[in-house]
Amino acid sequence: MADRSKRLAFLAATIGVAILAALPLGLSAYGVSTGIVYFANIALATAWAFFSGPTRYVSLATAAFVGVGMYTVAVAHVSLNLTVCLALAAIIGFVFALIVGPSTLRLRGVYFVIFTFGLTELMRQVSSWYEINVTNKLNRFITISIDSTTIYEMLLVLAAVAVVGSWHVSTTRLGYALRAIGEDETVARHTGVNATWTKVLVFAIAASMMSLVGGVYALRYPSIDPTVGFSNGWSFQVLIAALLGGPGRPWGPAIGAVLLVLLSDFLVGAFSRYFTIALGVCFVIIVYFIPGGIAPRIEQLYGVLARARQPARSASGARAPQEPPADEATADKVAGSEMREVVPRRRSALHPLMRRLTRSGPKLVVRGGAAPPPGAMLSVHGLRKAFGGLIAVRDLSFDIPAGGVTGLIGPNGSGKTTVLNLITGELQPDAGSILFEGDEIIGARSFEICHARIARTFQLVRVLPGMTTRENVMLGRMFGSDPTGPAAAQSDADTLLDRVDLADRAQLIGSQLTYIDQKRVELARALATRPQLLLLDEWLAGLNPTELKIGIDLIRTIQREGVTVLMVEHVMEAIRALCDHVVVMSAGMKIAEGTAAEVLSDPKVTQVYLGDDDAAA
Amino acid sequence: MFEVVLNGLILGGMYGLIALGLNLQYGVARMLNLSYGEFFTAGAFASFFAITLYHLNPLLGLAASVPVSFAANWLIYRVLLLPLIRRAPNQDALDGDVVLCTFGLLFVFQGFEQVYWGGNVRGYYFLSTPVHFFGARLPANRLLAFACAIILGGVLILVMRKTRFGTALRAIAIDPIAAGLTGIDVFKLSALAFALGGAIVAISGALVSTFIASSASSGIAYTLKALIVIIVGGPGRMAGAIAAGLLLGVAEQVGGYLVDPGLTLAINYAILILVLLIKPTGMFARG
Amino acid sequence: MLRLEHISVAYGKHQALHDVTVDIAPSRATAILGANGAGKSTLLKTVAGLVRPKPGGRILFYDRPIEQEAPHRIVEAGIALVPEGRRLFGEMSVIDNLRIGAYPERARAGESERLERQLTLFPRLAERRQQLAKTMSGGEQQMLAIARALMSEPKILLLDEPSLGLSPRLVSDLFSVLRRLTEGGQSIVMVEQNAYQSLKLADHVYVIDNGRIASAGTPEEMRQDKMIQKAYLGL
Repeated sequence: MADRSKRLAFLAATIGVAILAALPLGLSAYGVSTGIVYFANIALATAWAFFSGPTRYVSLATAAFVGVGMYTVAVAHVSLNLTVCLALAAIIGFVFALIVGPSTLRLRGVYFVIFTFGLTELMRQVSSWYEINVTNKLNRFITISIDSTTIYEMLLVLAAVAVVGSWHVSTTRLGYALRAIGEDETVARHTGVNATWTKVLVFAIAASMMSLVGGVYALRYPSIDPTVGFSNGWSFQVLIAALLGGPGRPWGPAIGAVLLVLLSDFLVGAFSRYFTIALGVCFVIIVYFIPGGIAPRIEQLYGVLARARQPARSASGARAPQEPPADEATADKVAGSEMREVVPRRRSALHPLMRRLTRSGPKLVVRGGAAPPPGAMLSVHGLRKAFGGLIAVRDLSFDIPAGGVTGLIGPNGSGKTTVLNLITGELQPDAGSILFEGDEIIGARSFEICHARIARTFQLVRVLPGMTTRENVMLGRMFGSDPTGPAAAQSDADTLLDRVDLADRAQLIGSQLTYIDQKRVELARALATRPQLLLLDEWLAGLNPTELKIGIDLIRTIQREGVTVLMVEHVMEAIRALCDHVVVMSAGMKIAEGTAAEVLSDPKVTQVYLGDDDAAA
Repeated sequence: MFEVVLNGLILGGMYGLIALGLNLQYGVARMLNLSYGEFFTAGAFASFFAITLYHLNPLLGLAASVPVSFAANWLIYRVLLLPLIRRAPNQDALDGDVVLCTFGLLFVFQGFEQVYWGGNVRGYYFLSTPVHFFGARLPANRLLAFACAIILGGVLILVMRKTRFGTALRAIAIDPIAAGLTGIDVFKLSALAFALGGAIVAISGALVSTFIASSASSGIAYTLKALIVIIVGGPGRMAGAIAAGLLLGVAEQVGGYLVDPGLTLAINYAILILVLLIKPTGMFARG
Repeated sequence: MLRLEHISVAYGKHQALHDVTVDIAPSRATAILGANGAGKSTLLKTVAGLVRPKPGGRILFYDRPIEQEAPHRIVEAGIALVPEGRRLFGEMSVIDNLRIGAYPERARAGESERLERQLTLFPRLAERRQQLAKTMSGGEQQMLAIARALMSEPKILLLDEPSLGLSPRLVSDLFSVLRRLTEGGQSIVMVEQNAYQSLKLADHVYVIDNGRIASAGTPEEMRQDKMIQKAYLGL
């Protein structure tokens, strides 16, 4: 049924675009130029939200990319034909974003906003300087003559491509990666997503669309100068349109763009010289009263109307309708789209970076060149990490035997989680080495560690709150050590959900799950990455006795299937039941190591746990 | 060259001055107020009206602009921003809301300025006589602004370091939750810091208007400049803001002299990029 | 003097405390024990005003309801929390951290004597007056966090896992300082994982399990309690 309604929506959209395309035949010149403004804004707002919506990076660089497109056309149209010019605009916009992306996207929050705002200012000043000092005139004339109907049609196509494209991408691996980054970048990285590359790539795709729109838009002007090309107005208008419509939905920004243009026209008519004031007031009202944008409101309304038909969907209320539903029919369609995936394939082997690190002599070599003891899957040697004056881990060495369950215990704050963070690349140690199957993994990034087949759960549960249970687990399968497309990932995810007893909650979103269920999702997500070594950070904490027993059995089964486990745990019952090897930490140091029975009867261990000598008695 | 550096220092003092208020708003109260620059222009306009309409000393305009700006900013924090703070699930969401809300305010204020001021750039002459200083000729009005920047910056540094109020503000800047646990009324003091920032930017607007003409739309440029200064200097650090202002001023003048005066913003931006990439907490931030 | 009545707290779907009722008497040391994630920290955060309880519950301090008060008002009333993770002002000097502790109006008179008292109680802090808080070791940071809270002259001192991350020697130093405080008449409520040290110090003990008060009593009674032994050593 969902498939049919999707086809209907597609058909309606196609007819709509066809009608819009035929309109200029009957429209006045004013109508055509209004259409141009609408389509340009739709395309830009959609492109903006394509990147900024899921990742929540508020970019003010739109004008910089629009300007790059305008200037490309203005410079190139003199000697090249228009198609080539526009292709060039798209390429230059893309490359420009690839160059500024890696440094810009390291910044978060307000710094990113300022940086992107400044980028436009910088472009404007540099281009003014160039025009004044090098070409000696500020204006560049657009000598190509092209009628506005053609511009109208070109922008209509761009707007349609932007909306359909961003809709489509949201169902591919790239779309999932982006959403995961926006929800929790740390989890995304530990689940195998190359967050930096994904962000830069999408930023560049969006920029390329912006430059293309800029390139077409330039054809409307008799001449352009830096204040037209790199006008911050573009950035702000697009931002407002996307937020007004709702950046979380592929069609939200388009609605926002249309509404914003309508609103501006109305305000100019109604308030004329008080236009700016009225616009500002509207803007403040939007922030206070429709914070998520208009699109979710429309969906809510639709949800209320359609409640009888789609109980589950309207109950969750927070999900986009374009999200891949459970039906197999849609899944097939999604699978068909895999060919166009842009994220590079992962290999299950070690990432080249790690290979290079090991070959060209890692910066931290095992002391005395000692080979890892036979049978050790992971070998930690001389590990040290300080935070300011606090030494969290000091000179720590231990091995994790392959195939077993190793326990890492110690009082709170003794550095256990820091050790997990050091192993998974979340933190970089000050000294020491970590060998995984003989390869140095210090210096490798979190997603590479995940590809190398080390997976983890988090001490404070980190389920992606806006994604469904199934999607959370699919991420692991799609980006882990043996990646697949969404369709295959979905069936594997369902198998795993069955194992952790969550099959009936597959459609609930993360924030609706109880604490225990969130823990199960995390475990399933970690397993979906197909690890050889699984790191569990207090995964059993907070379970009641029945759940604890189920949990212990589950870990036992996982180990029997050939996954080596390292568990940080306070539940001694589980340590006794599961661990053949236990490492005890206190104040950053290893104070005991051995079998569970050995370490738990060690007076040093009783002392740190219980706090006093007489406690052991 | 000496004159260039001297000019850079004078210019940098002005940048530091402009940034001081925003440093209270953004560095302490953690609110990125995009309508900040509008209070700069308000200060400039008050001085303009004082001299052109009433033939008064332009600095007397401060008597009107400082209290108004203080009160307006206090109200912005209490009435507009506080509900956003209370509703925000996390800092990212809050930052987004604040940016959007104050951006709306920017339009509102700019709209009023356009209506009552027009779109023209307006300036006046005041203390434009040159002063000779080790052979360099410097305009008296710029020297006045520079002196005020140093004095105001010095006073703020002392207040932040030596008084209970200032120590509380520093505590809020570092960790608002811990500040609440030591008995500091975080919202009340943040509102005061925010309002104080508004008052200071009105002062800087008046001082700068003695030598730079303003228009209704020039506010945002000062907001951006102030932000660059703060980010380079380390948010919440008054000495950092002054030092970063001086650095940017000198770099701009020297760069303009050696390369091209048309590229001052590019130089600013290059410094910002370097600082953000090398030391994202700000160049003069400790540790 | 401090009474929690029917306090329930939820973080989204996760219910951290269920209908908790606790009575804290003056001039005593009360220990709250329990496994990780049992709701111990939530209890202290609720008292300190960092977390709001669900409607229906009350927190009375000297018979005055404080469950809706902002954190600074609660400090002003006489309850100081030493938070988990210490939350010092790392960029400020030791002395400034201490001075800001005396920010409440109530605590301003006699600030300098109290400062002297803290520096006597914690000699290491006196040696390191001008050092930035973040450059100090874990043990010193914990001492500073306690001293900062004491600067507000609290009627009750709440401590959230004070032994977190400290080596055994520092833990026993810490507990001897706490013992001196209680002997001086300071009321203390602490959440701890170090069961036996806490049992030695405390006059009264509550055990929390899965957000509920599982048992309460004197340390002697608790020592016999199987739950404690199980929760802490899995014996």
